[in-house]
Amino acid sequence: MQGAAVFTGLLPVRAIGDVPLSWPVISTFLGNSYFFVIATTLLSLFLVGICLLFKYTPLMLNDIRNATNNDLPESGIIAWMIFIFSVPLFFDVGPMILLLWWLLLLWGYMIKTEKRIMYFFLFLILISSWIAHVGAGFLTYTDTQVNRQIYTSERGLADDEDIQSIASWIRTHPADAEPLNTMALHELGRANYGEAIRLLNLGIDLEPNNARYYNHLAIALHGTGKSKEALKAFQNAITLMPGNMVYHYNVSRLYQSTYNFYEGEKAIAAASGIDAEGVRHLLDRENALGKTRYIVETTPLTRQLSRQMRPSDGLKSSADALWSFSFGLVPRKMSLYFGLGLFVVLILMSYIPEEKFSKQCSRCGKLYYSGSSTKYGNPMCLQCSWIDTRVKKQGNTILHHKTEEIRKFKTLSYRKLIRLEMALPGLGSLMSHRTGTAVTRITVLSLSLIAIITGGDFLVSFIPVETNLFMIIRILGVVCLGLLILRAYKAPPIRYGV
Amino acid sequence: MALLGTLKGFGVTEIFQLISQQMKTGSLVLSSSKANITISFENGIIVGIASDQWERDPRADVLLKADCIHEKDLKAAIENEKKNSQSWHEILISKGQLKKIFLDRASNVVIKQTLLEVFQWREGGYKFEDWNTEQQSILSCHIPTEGAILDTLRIIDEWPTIKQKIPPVDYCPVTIIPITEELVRHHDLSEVDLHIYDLIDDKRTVEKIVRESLEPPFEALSSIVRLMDIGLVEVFPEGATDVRDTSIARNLFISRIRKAALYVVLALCILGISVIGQPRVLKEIIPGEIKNQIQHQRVLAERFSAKLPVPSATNTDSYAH
Repeated sequence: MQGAAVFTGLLPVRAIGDVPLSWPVISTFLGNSYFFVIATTLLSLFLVGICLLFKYTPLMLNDIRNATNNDLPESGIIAWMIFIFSVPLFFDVGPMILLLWWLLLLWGYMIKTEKRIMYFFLFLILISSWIAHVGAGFLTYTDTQVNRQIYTSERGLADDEDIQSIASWIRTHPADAEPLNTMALHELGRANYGEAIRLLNLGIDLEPNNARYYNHLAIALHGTGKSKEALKAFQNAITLMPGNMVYHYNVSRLYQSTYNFYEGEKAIAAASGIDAEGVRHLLDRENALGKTRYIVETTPLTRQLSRQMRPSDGLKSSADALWSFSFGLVPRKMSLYFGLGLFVVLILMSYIPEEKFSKQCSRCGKLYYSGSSTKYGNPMCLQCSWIDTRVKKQGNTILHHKTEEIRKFKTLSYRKLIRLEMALPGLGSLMSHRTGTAVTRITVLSLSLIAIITGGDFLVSFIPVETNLFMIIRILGVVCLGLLILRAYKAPPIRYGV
Repeated sequence: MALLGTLKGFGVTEIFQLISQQMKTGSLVLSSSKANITISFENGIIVGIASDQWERDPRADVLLKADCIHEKDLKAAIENEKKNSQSWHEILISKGQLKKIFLDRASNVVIKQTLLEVFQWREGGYKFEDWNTEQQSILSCHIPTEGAILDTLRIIDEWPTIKQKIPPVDYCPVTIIPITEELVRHHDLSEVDLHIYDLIDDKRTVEKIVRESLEPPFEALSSIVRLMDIGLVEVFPEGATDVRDTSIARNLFISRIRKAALYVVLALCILGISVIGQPRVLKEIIPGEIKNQIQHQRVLAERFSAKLPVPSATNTDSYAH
């Protein structure tokens, strides 16, 4: 049924400054934040892996040298070690598999706090499929679930191709109510009320508790002149969502069009009770336009966001690509089993006796195999452990040699560690077994590097935004890096003379 | 004053440390399922050790195994102990059948072995009485307690490294390169290392060298391992010393082959794995799907920027800002 067009309007777009809080902008912002966090986490883990490699390969070299009875040339052993550590590079795998390989090889050497990094990494692998899915949801936001077409159509930005896409989607996905509503709004704009009513009824059948659909149905019914039915539909919308000012406002417009001014005023009063400023604004706008207008609602932001996360072929393919980019080796769907398998491997590896792996005493720097550990879990040879637990700390000639050894090691370490800390913030801390500080500094370093390199610009909003935060993020990254280096200089991994 | 408890609650090192720091005099009895060991202290210094497992003076066994005394001389000396009111070693020394230095070394071996054993006990009990119990079989010594603790802990720490390199005890070590002062300086060889090197004569087995050295077994074995690591000594099965030269030549040849094989196998592995695997670095690092999606977003952004001004500007509404 076609009649005179019902004049409709949208609520104004909320904005922060000049940035409209519309779905593409919010989705891009969330996506960029998400990828920023993920990239920082992965880079941090990778840098931790490099630091662990730097810390423990000399011990591994020592063990291999011992195991081969010093029969093999050191250069050969080093060449083999480089090869073993870089084996994943010969395959089509991502940086995280390389990291995993390193952590597995160094597992026996790691102290308790460092092993927690491995557990975190393992947890990350277990949920990696889900992480990739969410990432793909943000990445494919313009391509999946006709979300973009719904958005553009509702705002009058759609072209014929977009409308055809929605129509085609409705044919292939008859159980999806949102495109039905969008198509109905499109028909409403073309004053094709009969089709709009049909589509909205289908939508209501699928989602009988959606107040928005009743609101639009009421407008379509009003377009066909069925004011009573329209009023009933508006009332249904109000019943489902009594706190929505728009429905009361639309009821007031309906009463006004039927010259029932008393009820119209009552409805306006009800709407004003909910959002007086909003009603005032809508009335002013209507006066300016000189026409009675009904307010239609766009698809809510949360709905758009949840739709973009729905599984689809496109999303799955992108999630697989994201997973393969970081991990690879096995398909994404196997990630859970992969993680569980690794957990079993770690359990089996924990049965290897600790004395098979040499350790370096954190006090005197001596290499040992049995030993003990400090209360913080740092490796310590039995002699230092004994000196540490002595009740009285007075020195004597017997202990002098040992304490001198400890002092010398500390003096040598101080210079070395401060250089390492300046070269790669966190490395010196990790070498001195301060895992917490090391991880914090490496995370800040990764965050700064990601900020400088990417500027947080991973995804692009297809709706243009004039405000550009990327340069600010890059500058913040540089500042953060500067502060980190200053901090590394001011607070070295070990304090001299303590 | 008596100190009593179990080793679970208070470890041997802690007990020794306490006695040393308090400079106590008395006897510490450590008991476990294996043995009861009594250690005498004087002003915090270890002055004697005894064990209920010793049927006779353990130094006699050490000296016998080291061929420093003969069994029949020892028996005669023991028989004469009561008559002469002298101990067996005093008799042997007076007869010139034993050198005092060997006896001292044997004491050192017994004491260090006993302490090493005691320090590894995790279960058992201890009792400290602040007077010295008179025991005939007590082995006198004068060892600073803290030194003993540090030395024993060092051995426990280093043992796993040495253990895996110890050659079979029935093999004969053979000197390969004559030792020079420069080598001693360069490798920082200790007196024990030199002593062990001197004992190597192509005929003695590892076991015999350890025994005859009258050094604590750990020290002797670490020296052998150290000499082998440096390349001064090699070991061969007993009786195979006559084929030493051919063996050395063969070993040298095998060593060269091994070294060459190390690099050849590495090269083959790299080649093989490069053929089997498909290195990502040679392909596109960022998958096409991801690149396409981002490119698509940029194209759309360009399209829409040409199509409309910023949405917020389409509406002059400001109430919701």
